[in-house]
Amino acid sequence: MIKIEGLSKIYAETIAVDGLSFQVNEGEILGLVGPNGAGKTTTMRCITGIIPATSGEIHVGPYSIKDHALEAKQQMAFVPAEVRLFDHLTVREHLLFFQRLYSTQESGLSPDGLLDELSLTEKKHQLPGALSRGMKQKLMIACALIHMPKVLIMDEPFTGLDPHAIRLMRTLLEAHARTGAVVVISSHLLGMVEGLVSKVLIIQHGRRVAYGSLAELQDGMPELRADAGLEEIFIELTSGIRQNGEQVL
Amino acid sequence: MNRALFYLIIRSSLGAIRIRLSRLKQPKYLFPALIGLLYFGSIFVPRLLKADPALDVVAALHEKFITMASFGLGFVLCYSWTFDPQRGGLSFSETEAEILFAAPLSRQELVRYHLLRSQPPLIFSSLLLSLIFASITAAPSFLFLILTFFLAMNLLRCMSLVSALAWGAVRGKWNHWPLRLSPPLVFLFSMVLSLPAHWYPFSFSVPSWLPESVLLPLHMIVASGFSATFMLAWPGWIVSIVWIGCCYVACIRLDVVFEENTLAHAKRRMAQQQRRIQAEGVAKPQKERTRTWPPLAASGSLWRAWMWKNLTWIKRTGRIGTFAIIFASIGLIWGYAVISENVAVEMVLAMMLTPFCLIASFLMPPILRVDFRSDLENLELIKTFPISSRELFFSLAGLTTAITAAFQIVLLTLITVILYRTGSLPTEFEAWGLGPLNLFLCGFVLLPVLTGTVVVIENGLILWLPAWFALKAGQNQGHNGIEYMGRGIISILARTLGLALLLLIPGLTTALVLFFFHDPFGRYSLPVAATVGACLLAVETILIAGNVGGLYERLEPGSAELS
Repeated sequence: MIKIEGLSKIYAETIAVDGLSFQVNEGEILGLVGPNGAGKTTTMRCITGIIPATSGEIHVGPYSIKDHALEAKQQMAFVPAEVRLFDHLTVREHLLFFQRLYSTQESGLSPDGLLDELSLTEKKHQLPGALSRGMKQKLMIACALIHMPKVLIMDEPFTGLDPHAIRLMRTLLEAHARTGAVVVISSHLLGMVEGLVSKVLIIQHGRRVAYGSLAELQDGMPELRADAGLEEIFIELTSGIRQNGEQVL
Repeated sequence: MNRALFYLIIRSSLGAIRIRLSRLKQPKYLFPALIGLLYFGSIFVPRLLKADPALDVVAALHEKFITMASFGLGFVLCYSWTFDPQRGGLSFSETEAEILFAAPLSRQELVRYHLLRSQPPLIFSSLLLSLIFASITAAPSFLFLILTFFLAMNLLRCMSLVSALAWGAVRGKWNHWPLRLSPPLVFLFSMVLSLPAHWYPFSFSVPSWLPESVLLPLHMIVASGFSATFMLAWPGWIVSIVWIGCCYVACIRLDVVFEENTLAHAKRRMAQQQRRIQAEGVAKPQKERTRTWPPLAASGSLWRAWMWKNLTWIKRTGRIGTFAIIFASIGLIWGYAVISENVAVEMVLAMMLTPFCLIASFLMPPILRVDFRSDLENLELIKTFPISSRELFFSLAGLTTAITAAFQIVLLTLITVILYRTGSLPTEFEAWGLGPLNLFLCGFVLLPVLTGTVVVIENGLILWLPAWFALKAGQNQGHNGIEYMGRGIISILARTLGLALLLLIPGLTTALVLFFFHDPFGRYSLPVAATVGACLLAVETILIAGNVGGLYERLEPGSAELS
């Protein structure tokens, strides 16, 4: 569903993403992990078409983001890491706006149902300024889900959520993936990523360090114990020992 | 227009109005709004009622209007060419960029959204300008005037946008300062050359085609656009609409990559700032809003941090450039006007510098970002610093005062030298003991203290009641219009009253010293009296600053937030 080939993004003299390639198939949840400044957000922004890639190919389904941007964007939804909401739209108006933006008033989810599911019904006439950080995060996720995207890209989606909301979010994401959608999430909460994703992409300095399912990553690192978790694999791969950025898998 | 974007604009506008109305329940919003409304009504409504159609000032100044508007348009275009390109012309908030750029919206739709988004403010501005100018134009009706202003402002906005986009397109290939500065320099040059020949202090024959070749296109635009809009009613409107249409097509056609917008630019600048902070090795990278002095101040180098913060801010906003261009333009025009009356050039310079030197006490601190309330945003962090609140306030006020005073003293020295060289002071001045040296000494002791007092009073007020006073527009986003005008009036009244009260005792003392000690000190009695007055004012200011500094301790984080 998403195919990235040789993606590079260069800001002036800084190489943010360097020849990144990976593929995520329908129904898969990809965990994009890496140290701070590894290029995760830039990669996500390139995929969603917010910023143009310097080179490389990005395909969302049959559409190239370069040549058929609108068709590709119609399939996607993006949840940024920072809270980005319109100051003067109420909670419900945000959902109605997103419905219109993606022209899914008929086919998408019901705004009231989604608000109810995310426990935001009581706040539906409030402005974002009156919401807590967690509620804003929930609203952003609701905005992303309202049009049932085939590709859901989320940058640090669990930040600011309480344990109940995190559990709810996991359930929602898993259910969304079961419908055949692709979910890409970046997070530093490796324990949570480990239990949620079907594939992991570890990047550092904009380059791919490891890519595959957790079992594949474990197999590729015999020096670690057999049941090593994602955190151990991540630390091992991104610590000084393997900082040359080579592809291990 | 995309239905979703239309929905966003309409709902956002309604939401903003609803917020404004609902917050009037609070006195801190209600009183400024009422005062602003009273002021606005008392000034403009009588004018509207007494409008005299015979008094058509705009028609009377038609020729001059075209010339002035040409210069104005040239200035706007040059400004957007030189400074606005940093935003690529199409500036979007980060929320808009993250949401709208990721949505299935075409470039045309985003351009249309950008243009349409600015229409509600333009409608309000048209209404305001129509009220102001209703009494001095021969407009057939008030509605006519509103529509005229609306079209003229849209035209100006579109031209500015096209200019910025054109630069964005050019910058993609060549980005260097000569190219960036050449249009403003050509414009300035043509402006000078287009002045009447007898204004030149030297014999110089200007080929008539030279200024015209630069100014003619602008004249044509103004004559066919703005001027026609104002003079010819609906035929003029059609011309304006055609111009707006051309600009719109140009906006669509100019293939500027959206990467050159606020989002990417802001990110790049933030990364640069962070690299700089890291290079200095004094602080870890912080978020955008806290990246300046609080992280640095935590290291203890408060003065350096404050200086760095101010310089960064001034550089970022391009205020020095803006002010330099404004003052240079005023000075140029005024200078040549006086030269045409055969006054010495040095004297013209002294005449220009003297008022500027005096009002610098009020003008400079805002340029140096004197509103300490902006630091209250970081109060949670500031309160954790090992710095007492009084020390904090003295540091902030002291450095602003020192920079302003240094600037004033440089100007003062220049004026004194000019006065000595030309000997052009009237003889009465000398008789009153107002020789160049005495004037310099008086200024030297009085101006820094006066600046310090102004800074302390203004910031004392905003720290005392942060939600009630305003120092400058734009400090608090979303606070403008009638309510902000009212807050401004309250602030001006409070500042004036505070300054008057503080000046009372030093002023009286100065007069008494001058009266009783005129004989023993002779011609130096004025500097002596000024010194006594300055000392008293300084004592008052330091006492107040000490108390105001304590306000930091009592303030709670978030108290500066108005909405």
